[in-house]
Amino acid sequence: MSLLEVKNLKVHFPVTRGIFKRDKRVVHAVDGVSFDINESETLGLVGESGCGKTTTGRSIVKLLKATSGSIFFDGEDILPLKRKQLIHFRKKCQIVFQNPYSSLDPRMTIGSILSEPLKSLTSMSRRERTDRVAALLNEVNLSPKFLNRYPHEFSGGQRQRINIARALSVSPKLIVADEPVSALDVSIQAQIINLLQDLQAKFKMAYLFIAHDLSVVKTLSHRVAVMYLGKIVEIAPTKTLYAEPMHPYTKALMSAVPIPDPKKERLRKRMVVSGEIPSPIDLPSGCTFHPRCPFAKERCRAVVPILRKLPNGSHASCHFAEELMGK
Amino acid sequence: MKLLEVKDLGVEFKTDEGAVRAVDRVSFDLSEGEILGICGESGSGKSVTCLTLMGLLPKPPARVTSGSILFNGRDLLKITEAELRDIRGKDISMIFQDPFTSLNPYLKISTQMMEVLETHTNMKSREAEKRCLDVLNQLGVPEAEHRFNAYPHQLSGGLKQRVMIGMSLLLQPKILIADEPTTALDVTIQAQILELLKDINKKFGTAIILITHDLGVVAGLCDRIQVMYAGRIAEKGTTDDIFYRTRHPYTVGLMNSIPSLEIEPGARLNPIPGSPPDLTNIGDFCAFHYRCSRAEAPCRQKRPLLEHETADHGYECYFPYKDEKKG
Repeated sequence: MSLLEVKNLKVHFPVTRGIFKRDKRVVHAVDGVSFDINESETLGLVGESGCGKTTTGRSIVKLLKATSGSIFFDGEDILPLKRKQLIHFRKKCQIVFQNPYSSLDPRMTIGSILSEPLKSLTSMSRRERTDRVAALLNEVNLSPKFLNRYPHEFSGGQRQRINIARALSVSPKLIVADEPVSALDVSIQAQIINLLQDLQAKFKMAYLFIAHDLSVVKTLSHRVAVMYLGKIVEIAPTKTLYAEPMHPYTKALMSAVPIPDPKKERLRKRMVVSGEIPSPIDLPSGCTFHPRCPFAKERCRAVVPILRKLPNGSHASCHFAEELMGK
Repeated sequence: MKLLEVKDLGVEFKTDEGAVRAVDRVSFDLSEGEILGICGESGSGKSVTCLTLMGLLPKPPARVTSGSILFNGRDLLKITEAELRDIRGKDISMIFQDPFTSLNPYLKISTQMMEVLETHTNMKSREAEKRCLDVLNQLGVPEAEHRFNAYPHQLSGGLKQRVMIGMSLLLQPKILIADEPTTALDVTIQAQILELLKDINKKFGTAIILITHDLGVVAGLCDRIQVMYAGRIAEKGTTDDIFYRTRHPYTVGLMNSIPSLEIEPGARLNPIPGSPPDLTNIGDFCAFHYRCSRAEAPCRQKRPLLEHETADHGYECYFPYKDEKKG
């Protein structure tokens, strides 16, 4: 049984416009997303800004209210759960945020930041908490001497380590990592990626790793889901997805990533998609990628493609996935 | 011929903790029609170097401590503000990282673009308008006329960056400084903007200084690259020198830290240990020695001088890598 099962998740935000706010419309931030994560597995969730990846992550940890659908964690639907009932769930599922500068309270010491989840979610005694916090700092390769310091005394990379330690504190089974390395410099980014891998090897938790950087996702993930305009357009084991992207959007994303190798860059044929991401308020008809897709045909404008299994083992939502293989 | 020659440039910022040496005796040049990449992590001095070229440093707290910037035989550090203003925009122009904050939200695109022409030329307004629309059309702005009369918030990030580029090209400058022009954009839009910069360089012969932290971006675009660390040039050379004949341990470290699309899933990265040094009171030694695996006694005693292997390829290191395996 999978640890997390997301079924047809929808998160819509109402927006009102006009003088009397009569013009009511809906932003389809997440529009029918289904996937699952197994124990100690990493699922990478990639996409460009506004595709709904962060909204998906936040709805899973219940920081946002889902509009419809269901999220099963360890076999229990967590969407109907209320505050008190959530304590049990929060112990098993934690989140690491993107911005290491705004996700730590500047007025709390590192020690109190790290013991906060232990205080509210466990029944540890003060002594036990102190020991646990020191152990946590060790796990993320920080010195326990830092206990009484404040967040501003740390660099971005160190703060992200503290964020990870906070998520680890209650020994969760799933960590939602929302772009945890995108605010960091490359040399520091590599340190954090390695740390996330080491921790997973040691504690066997699962990650939902949200990122926009395809190379980072490839390094960490067992499976990868690609999102576009609130929907998953392709999901596959990492090797399959990178060796043989099936959806035109995945292909476009891959070919847009600059390769740090001048010779390969010079010889490369780019599939440059024109235009920009349409507004999630007025979604295009049919396949939402059709206005930018170089292969779009009549059917793409009319019929919404569903995510379906393809011969190579991946799932993609493109009417013409088989015909476009290798293009 | 050399278009721009920077010699021995030093810039300091006064802070409460002491002087921060943001740029520490940096020399480089730029030929006509060339694309030069300046690469480095945050705080390496790449942006400050270019702001100094443009005379845009806030003084105080900044102070140019040494050096000269020769453009057309004139030292940009010695001319008056009025003379500088004449050069800025007309001969050298700049685009910034964040297209969201670099346009004035209160003014229409038309007002902001026309202002450039009104300040620097005596074009009639009809003529100026035509010139603006020409440039926007050349840059592939769809429905240019419509966008021209729009406010910045009505444009997407990619379009704003196109407008910024358009504005900087109005007077056909000889040098375009692009400070992380694609960092705030999504990969598919990044690919479009990079193609555009390449076209501009080919079509108009504009020399470009591209500042970025992304080695992938420079690989495909630049003729020459210089890698900066702690306000100094660690290594400079042709793109192939930097990627295939890497000498400086910092450059090697950077290359090893980047996850690439070709990485095996689950592979471990090889990060540079530690974090960049504090630039206040940085001594006369190699700034990288704290993090360097090859550092020996001389590195801690005296800053290495720029050693030239060929006319283009040089590095500040006592113990550079040769063509052995690096890692």
